[in-house]
Amino acid sequence: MVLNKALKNKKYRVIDIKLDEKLARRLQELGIVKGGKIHMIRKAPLGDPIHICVNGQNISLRNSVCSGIVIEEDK
Amino acid sequence: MFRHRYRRRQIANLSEKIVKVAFVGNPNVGKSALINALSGSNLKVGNWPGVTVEKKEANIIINNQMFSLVDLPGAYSLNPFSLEEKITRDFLIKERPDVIVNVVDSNQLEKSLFLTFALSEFEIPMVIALNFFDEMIKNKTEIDIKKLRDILSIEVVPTSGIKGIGIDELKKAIYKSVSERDLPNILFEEKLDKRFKRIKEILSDKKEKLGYPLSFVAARILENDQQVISELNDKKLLDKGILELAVDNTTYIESRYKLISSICKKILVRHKDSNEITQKIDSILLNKFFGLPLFFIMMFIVFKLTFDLSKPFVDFTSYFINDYVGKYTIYLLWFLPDILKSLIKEAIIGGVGSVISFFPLIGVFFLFISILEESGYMTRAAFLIDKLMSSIGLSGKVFIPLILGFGCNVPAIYATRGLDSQKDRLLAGLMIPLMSCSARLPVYLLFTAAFFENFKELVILCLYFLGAFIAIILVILLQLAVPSLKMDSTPFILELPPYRIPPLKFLLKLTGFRVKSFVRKAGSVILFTMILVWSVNSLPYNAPSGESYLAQGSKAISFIFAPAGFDKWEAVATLLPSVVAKEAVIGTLGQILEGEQGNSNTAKDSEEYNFLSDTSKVAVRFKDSFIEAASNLLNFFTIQSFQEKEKDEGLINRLKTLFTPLSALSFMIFILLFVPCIVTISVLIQEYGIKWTIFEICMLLFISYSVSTLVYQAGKLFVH
Repeated sequence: MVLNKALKNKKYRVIDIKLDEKLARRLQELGIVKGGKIHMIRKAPLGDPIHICVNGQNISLRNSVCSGIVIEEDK
Repeated sequence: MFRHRYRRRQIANLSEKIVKVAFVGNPNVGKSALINALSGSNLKVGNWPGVTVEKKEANIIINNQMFSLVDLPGAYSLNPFSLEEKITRDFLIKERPDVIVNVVDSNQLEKSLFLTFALSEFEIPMVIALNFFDEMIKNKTEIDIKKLRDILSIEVVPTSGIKGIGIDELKKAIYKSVSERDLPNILFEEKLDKRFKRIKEILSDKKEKLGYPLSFVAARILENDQQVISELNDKKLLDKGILELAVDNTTYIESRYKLISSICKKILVRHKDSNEITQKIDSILLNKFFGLPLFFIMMFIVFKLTFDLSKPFVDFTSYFINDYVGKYTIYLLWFLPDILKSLIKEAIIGGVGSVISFFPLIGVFFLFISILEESGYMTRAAFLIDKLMSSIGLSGKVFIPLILGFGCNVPAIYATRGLDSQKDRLLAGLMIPLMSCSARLPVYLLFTAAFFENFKELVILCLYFLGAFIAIILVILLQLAVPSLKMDSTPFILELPPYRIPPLKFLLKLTGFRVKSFVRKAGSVILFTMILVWSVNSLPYNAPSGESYLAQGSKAISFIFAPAGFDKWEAVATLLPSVVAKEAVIGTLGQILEGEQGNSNTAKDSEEYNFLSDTSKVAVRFKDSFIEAASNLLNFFTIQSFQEKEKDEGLINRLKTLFTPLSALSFMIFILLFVPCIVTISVLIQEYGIKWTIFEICMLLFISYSVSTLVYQAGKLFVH
């Protein structure tokens, strides 16, 4: 599934990043890398953007970006 | 005296060369506060040439050596994504600082080390400042500093810029790294390390021609950075075989992160989640239900406080300059001819006064904005409101400057500095003059009192919405028309930094510097305009108000405004003064209309000069402005700005002879959309350059004329 579908307060693992190179690179630099963990924290009150936690760092991403981040639940 | 001499000798002993120290770090790691703590009172705040990114610099002396400290804009990496990162990277490559101080948030070591590793490729001696170290201790986290030092082979100093911890140690470390010139280790995982060393070997004989540090080039080739590779290919510096050693940049970054997490496992012990407090606050401030209401309350508070607190002082300053300084300057210059006295009093002192009277407003405003920014709430605000703004192609952060524009356009334009992309900055700057500022309100109040007595609130509200609506249309059209402003050029990635209580002393100092830079830059444009407007308004000297150059000019061009419904020269004559200040429309109208009735003999000549009593009046008013500010605070929820001054029935009656309700509406719309006041213009020039300012002015001329014409013509269909 993609990051938009992530549920509040659950942890996920990144499987793939399907975005243009520059954007993908930026996300990787922020620690959103294949195999890395993402903690979905909340959606903004208006539904976009979302608030995630990566490596102890709080990041906000728009849904348009999230739809390019493929994840699976982290067990 | 003695101290002065001592200082001179100290400077004489300095070696000629000034050592350049660049401060580099992620956004929100407290770099500015750290430089501030290092430099004491020498901090300078300006802009990077040509862009609206703030530049802070300071010179300090350590052991008889002059160091120039430069605060580079915050960066996550040096593969430039934002304008800030480009400035930082270009500075490191072109200016080649002697030392890099890498400021690191001790609470977020993993994230920060990514930049540290990127910096190590520049082959510049480096010092790490583990900032917010006190916070880290509170968070029950431990970092093995010695091990970190050994791994990177550079000095690591625990600091807190806010609390002033570790400042002397940092100075020593900077000094030491300059004299010893030790370079940081460039670390890779084993597999990549072999390739990296091999690339370096191959390139080493062309070292001088590369134009970049050798390790930097080698690392770029390793990660297959197309930009640098094609640049070197053009210079024919790359052998074919070398590119086979490259990996793709995903592998490169992932490998770096693996290495960082393995290093952190060795040196970092966390007993507690450092995010805990921030997450608790966020669960309230970003709450699904309370988040937005709290945001609007917060905006309301900032807006109200900025304008209510500063207003009494703004009024006082303008009274002080015009009615006290101006009056007595003229008194002392009794020997000058009247015309020069009038020029000095009205244009020069008035111009200086109009700049100075902005001090309290800009001061209070900058203070609040820096509190919002430094505390970490600003990015939350952007998070909350982003969806609304994204529908017109902007980021959530743009909302705040736009709202402030309703108070005063000048600080609102300054607030665009905090925006992340150059595109957002520019578009917000072009929108702000359409936000109806509080100086336009008196004009609406006067005209609605004359023509729309029964539903004036509605008319005024519609005007506010009209301005905002046109601004939105404008932004959408601009993005369609100008390719570089296309919608999707800035993906919205926002870091939500931990909440922090910003140090008041630092906030005040920063505010002081920003106010100073406003004065320096705004002054000359404003003065020039004041003299120009004075000249057309007061010359030929002593002519009745219907025969000044302004009146003659207005009479000549008033036909242009016939389609918009106000071709009376008296109305047209207010337009130029409205550029000095929007509320000047009323004063000018009053003057002209009074002049026509032949009672222009105002109290000018009968002014009394009683220095003592006037001075005590100034003191009383100064005291009163504190009381008024305090009472504004207490009466927080009354809407100050809507309170009317006593009505000038005479003026209102005379207005009714000049305008019909429809042409009055058209005139108000024109004033709303017309060229902004000169202070706003000078700030636009300062922030976006002369080209965009001229573009904005031409556009506003077009918009104001066409919209008011449209309204008038459409209205005529209904009225008839």
